[in-house]
Amino acid sequence: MGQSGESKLLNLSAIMEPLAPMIALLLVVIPIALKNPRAVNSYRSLNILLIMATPIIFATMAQMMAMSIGEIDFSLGNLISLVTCIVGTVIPQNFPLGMLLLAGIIAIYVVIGAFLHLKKLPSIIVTIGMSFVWLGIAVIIQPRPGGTVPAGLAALMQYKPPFIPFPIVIAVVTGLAGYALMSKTYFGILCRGVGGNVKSIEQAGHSVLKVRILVFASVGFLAILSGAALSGITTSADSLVAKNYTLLAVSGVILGGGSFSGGKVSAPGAVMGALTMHLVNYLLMSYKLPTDWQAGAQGATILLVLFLVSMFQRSQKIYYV
Amino acid sequence: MTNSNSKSLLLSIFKKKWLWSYLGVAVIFGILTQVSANPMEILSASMISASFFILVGIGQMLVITTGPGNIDLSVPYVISFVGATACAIMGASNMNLPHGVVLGLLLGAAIGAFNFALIRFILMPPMIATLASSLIVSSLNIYFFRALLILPPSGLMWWVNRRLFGAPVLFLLVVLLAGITQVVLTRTKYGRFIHAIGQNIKAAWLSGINVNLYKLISYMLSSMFAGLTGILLAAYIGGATVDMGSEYMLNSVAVVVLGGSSIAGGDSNSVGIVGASILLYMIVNLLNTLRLEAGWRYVITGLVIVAIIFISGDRMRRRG
Repeated sequence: MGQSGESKLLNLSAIMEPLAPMIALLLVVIPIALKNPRAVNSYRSLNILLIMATPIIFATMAQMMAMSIGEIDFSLGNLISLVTCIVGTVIPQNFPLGMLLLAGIIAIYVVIGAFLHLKKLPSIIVTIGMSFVWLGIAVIIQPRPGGTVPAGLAALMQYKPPFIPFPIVIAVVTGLAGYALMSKTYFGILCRGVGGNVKSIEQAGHSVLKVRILVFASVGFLAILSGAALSGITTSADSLVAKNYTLLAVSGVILGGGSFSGGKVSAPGAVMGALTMHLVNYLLMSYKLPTDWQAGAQGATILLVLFLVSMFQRSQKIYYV
Repeated sequence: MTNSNSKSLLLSIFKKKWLWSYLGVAVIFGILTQVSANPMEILSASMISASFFILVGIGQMLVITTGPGNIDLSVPYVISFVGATACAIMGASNMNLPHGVVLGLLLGAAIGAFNFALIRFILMPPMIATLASSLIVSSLNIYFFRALLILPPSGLMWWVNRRLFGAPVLFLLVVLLAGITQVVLTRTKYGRFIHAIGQNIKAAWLSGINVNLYKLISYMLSSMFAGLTGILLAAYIGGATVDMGSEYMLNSVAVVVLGGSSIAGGDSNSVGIVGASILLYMIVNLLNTLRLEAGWRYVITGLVIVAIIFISGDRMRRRG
């Protein structure tokens, strides 16, 4: 890929890169606010605007964890749908079984992490296989949308803290916690090290196996948070509800300044990326554009932001990608 | 001497990465003969459905060959959009069949070129570039062809369902295409160059290969194969629909890797794609015969994919 372009960037791009996710978010928020000030000027309307962003933020965090070590989870969307089915269908009927299934998801993720490491397999294809497994289990549990989500969870998602709407609290807390984890803890530094240069981490005497297992366990955990939040908001179990989340989350991480090759992630950036992807839909709605263009607008936003970022990376001639 | 030769021949066959998918087909067929009254009928049905996986898989494989990170996630939407556009151009008239196919393939080529332009000039990771462009394509598709079932010409519908001595003609042609692709991969400049690019792009570039040109060709071919699939699929299922391509994104990658090509690129074959595609449909048809619910079909398909990767894992290691 941009082998020579990435090593020596202009100083401008060093400033630009962390700002890009913020600029992207503002590019979406400002037109919404201009066109429809009532959508953003009250506690209640902000809550409505952002409530569906919460599960996307958790999904993006999950994908960010995987991408920090240079892996990717292609099963995330189906897994999150499965979690809504477990939360909305199994837990109300049989609480211990439901919790056992959720614990089982994390256990499977631990196994996947170990498996990928020991067999040196690419995560993309293993998670493609797992995505069929998650979808299948979800369809077995809940063949068509329905279920009864526990009232407590639904109430939690409707929680109204003073002054600041709950989705914003979640976004800020998640961004800061992710930043602290990835940038300020030993574990986070090891993760980015594994993503950047596995050999150096190995030769420094660290267990890359342990890092991979912990990262995949946290992917599973964050996916469960996302699914629980989603079912709490929609109050239903649906085996297909989150199928777009896999790629939405990848886009959020990339918009937030993360990279596919690993080693470079920004949790606050990823949260902003997730919010941007979520708000693009409202941008269309506030300008009364047909929802046919919803996906297209998301695609165009990704293109525009990455185009702007790439403008600042042109300091060196790139001969091939 | 002869003995040791034949032994090493046998060993070398077992080292072939594409063999696993055919072993899988043989195992499933063995089970089918026990549980089904007419296993040949199921094999034949699997073949025709597999034809579409093979076509998309060949295109996906050409992109994957060009190296780590190269993947075409736009195939599902290209299938739907090109299929619908071509059918709309043909207007259910056999006279317009060539126009529809040619314009459909050109549209596919244009989308592929657009994909690579994003990768080359905006320096987007291929996964994100093909995703972003496919989101735009999907919106175009919904805008133009929403809730419509666009009928293909009767001639095309007749042709895709034709059989020769019990074997679907479409499948035979697709297998022939896979064979040609195999020759292209191993014996032509294009095939050798994309392998070289996939193995070490810097070395390939330094040795004078026009790296960008060959990658561009691969991305264009991928979208053209997807477009062709869209046209044929529309004829097979009796009309182009907006979401007819949706199952092809993950499956197109799955058949390439199950067929023994390396997901990291630089080591590909198209023979295995045929076996892997038949295998995936044979599993589905076997489970249908056993009257398992849809959910179990997904679970078992996924587990088989993971199991095959596990068994043949040492051969598809990623590099680095």
